[in-house]
Amino acid sequence: ARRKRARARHKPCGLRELEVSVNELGLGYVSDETVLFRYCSGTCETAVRVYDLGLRRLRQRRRVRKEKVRAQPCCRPLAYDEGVSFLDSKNRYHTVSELSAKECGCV
Amino acid sequence: KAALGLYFPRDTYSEKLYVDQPAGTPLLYVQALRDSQQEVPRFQLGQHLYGSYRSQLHENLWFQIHEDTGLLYLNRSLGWKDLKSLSALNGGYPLLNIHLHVFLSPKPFWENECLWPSCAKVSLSIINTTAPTCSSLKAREFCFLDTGLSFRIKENKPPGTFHQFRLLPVQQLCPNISISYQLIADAGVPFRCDKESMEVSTRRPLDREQREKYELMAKCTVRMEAREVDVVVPFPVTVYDEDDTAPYLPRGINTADAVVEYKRKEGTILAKLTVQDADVTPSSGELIRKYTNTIVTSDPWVSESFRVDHMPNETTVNSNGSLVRATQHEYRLVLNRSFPITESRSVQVDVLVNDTDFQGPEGSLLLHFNVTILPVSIRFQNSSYSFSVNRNAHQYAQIGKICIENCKEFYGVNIVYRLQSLSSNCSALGILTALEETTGHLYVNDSTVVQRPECTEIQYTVVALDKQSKKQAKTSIIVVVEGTIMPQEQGCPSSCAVSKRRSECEECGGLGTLTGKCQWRQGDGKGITKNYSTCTPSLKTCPDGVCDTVESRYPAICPQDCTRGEIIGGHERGDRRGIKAGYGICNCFPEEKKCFCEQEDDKEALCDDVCRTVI
Repeated sequence: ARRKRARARHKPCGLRELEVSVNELGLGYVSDETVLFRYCSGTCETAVRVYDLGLRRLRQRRRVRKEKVRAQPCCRPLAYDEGVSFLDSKNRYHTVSELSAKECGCV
Repeated sequence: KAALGLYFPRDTYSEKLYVDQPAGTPLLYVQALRDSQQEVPRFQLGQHLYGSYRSQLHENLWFQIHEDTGLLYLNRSLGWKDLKSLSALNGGYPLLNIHLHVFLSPKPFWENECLWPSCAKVSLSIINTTAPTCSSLKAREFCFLDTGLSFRIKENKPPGTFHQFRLLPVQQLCPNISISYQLIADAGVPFRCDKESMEVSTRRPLDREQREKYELMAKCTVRMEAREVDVVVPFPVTVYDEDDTAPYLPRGINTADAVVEYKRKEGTILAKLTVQDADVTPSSGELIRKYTNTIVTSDPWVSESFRVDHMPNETTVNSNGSLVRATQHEYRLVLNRSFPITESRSVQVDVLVNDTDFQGPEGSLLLHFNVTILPVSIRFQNSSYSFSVNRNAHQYAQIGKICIENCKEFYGVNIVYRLQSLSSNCSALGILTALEETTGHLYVNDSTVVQRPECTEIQYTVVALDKQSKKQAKTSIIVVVEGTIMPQEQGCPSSCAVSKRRSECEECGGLGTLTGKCQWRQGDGKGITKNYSTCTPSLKTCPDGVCDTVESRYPAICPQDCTRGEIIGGHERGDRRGIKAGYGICNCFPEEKKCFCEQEDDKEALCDDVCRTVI
């Protein structure tokens, strides 16, 4: 079990999907419909560059202290789905654009 | 030529066709109704058989019609072999029906175009077995076909026979079974069924304006051995209309008065008059062409200034207890051009309405519109206006509105407001005219001038100018500068809409703020609502769902009303621009052309990367 979890943790950055109800998204829309929500998840260890190593060192040495910096690449969508449409409980259509990821990458 | 008046009382006849029925089998009678007494129908069959979806199958070798009586019969037996070869020609569809065309006029011009009233279709449904035995038939099958009966009879035509109840193939198959028909109807209905011949005819000409639908029932009695069975089916008759009544004026009203005053724009409806017509023909497709209206005038000024809009509408009227459709024509006198405010005139506009289809001398009517065009003057109600402005007001803060007398009534008049400064050192204000409202919006144009200690009272003359006539009105404005200068918070954004929290909103000022501080609107928190929480320069003008003249000047004043950019989160977009409704708190970054609507979620916001590392 431990080895399994370890492997899961090292799953590289990629697209995952989840079937969720519109209400669960918490955007304020009230609807019984479910939508397919694709998101990006996984590690970006292999995408670390010299920039990240350098920045980490500088942060450790307190040369960079005040600003918020990120010294490791992040698994984020590179492209989004164009639009998801659904009908709400008052019979009105809504189209939410860029709700769901289409392509992921370490940036 | 006389044959053109003849017509079929149905557009489709049907019968069943069994395989191998012998030559000479009678199938059905078609009937024709006449337009005048002298006419004699001559029935002719089209040269082809048609299959599914109007496809031409084959030359007709099997069916013939009796020219005088309209009896359709089998000329040659239709066997399995014939059916097989016909099926092969049906374009891959199963052959369920064979169609024939029956014409009334001497020689049809378009063989394969069969249009009621001078052509009727005969649909023969093919039963893939040989004819049944009498004992296997149910009572209903002796009486009626499965396809329903329904008839069309034109009004004002001589009476005639329009239906034969008898089912000929069944009768020939089972001559010993006694069948009789009867019409179930109220007394006085203009139809009769002859017991002997089993034919239905009209007793007298019908009048659609009296009654246009007869929902009769047909009863059939079958006597088989000792049993007697009744079968009842609906027998609807629809009366078709012709243009036989003249248009008339309801309550005799043929005159309407109209006054042109503040609303002078092209397209303004001045007055309406109604013309009634008991007919429903001409039909909607030809109505505009056949129901004409013209402005009767020799004055080119009248014909250029006005036009008539014709709005026909179907209504129902009660005629002896039954509802009958009729037509109501509304004629609207409309301004064909915008009038200058100086125009003053009185004219009578006569409109001739003509029902060109009506055969008679009274097919036309004259309508009169008495139009009075009054000049309007531009003037201010008050001799002077006074406003106040806070010393801390920012640029684009709206101080007040200026309006000429009756300005809300004006439509189609272009009024522009201008300011003339009387205290030149302190001229801090500007005025903008809203296009459709004829209202002037007074706003702070230079906030540094308002802050000058020597400017305690600013005076202006405001001029309202009509662009077209160059007429103008003047009044004076006194603006009192109030309050003391408060130090401005450092690091505030130029737009109030950027702030997402009440505290940072109320600390800062921004474009359009009246007192130098933004105002917070606390929403109702009910889902996606028009009353969302947001930070605004003035609760009176923003966000009110309208991007007014001043706000549209610069995107940072009130992006909530004026944004055309992206809105992220639960929202409903305004019809043209802005946020109509939002979820939680809406804030905007006008430079990025983005707005966000999001419910505030404290826990997430507090625990950032640093806090996670601690945990």
